[in-house]
Amino acid sequence: MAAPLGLARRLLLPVRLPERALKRSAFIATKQYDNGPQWIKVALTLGAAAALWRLLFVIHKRDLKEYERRQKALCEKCTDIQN
Amino acid sequence: MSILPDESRSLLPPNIVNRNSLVLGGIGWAAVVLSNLGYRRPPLGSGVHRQILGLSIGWFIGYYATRRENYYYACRDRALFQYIKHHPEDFQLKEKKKLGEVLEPFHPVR
Repeated sequence: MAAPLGLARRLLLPVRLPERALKRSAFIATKQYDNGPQWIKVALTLGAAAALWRLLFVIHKRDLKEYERRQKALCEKCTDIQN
Repeated sequence: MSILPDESRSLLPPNIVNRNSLVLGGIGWAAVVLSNLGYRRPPLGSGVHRQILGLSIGWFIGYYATRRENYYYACRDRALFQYIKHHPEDFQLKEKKKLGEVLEPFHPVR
């Protein structure tokens, strides 16, 4: 008894089409922009930017150490010649 | 010919904040803003994650550009100083003359 009533109520309620589908034109193809942010893309983009910055700092530190090591080696050579 | 040969590591690496990085980072950011304009999106407010990525890529390329620039000018200076050392006859210091020796003696006519 209750099931067919529920079914009838659902059938009698005004049908609401998904509004998003109505706004798209049949002649112009566009991407849907009101879906909300695509969080996976945002996460990947920000992750890539963070990785680039980390790489930059790592490379800078490594090359600074290498430069100081070479300068020290040069100075040691100079003192050897003097002695 | 590599971009950065091994001897470029004998040079002091440039600061993380440098002019080429700023310029190229700005160009990367502007590229993202331009693409926003092309897609008819709000230019400055939309796609902040893409703007950050554009800035970062430009900054990274600018850092390597600065290192390459430093290496190029260091090589040029080395060649220049070696030439000066090997040809001292071309680079004699001129004797400095005092102005009193250069001018004629002054005889006032009154």
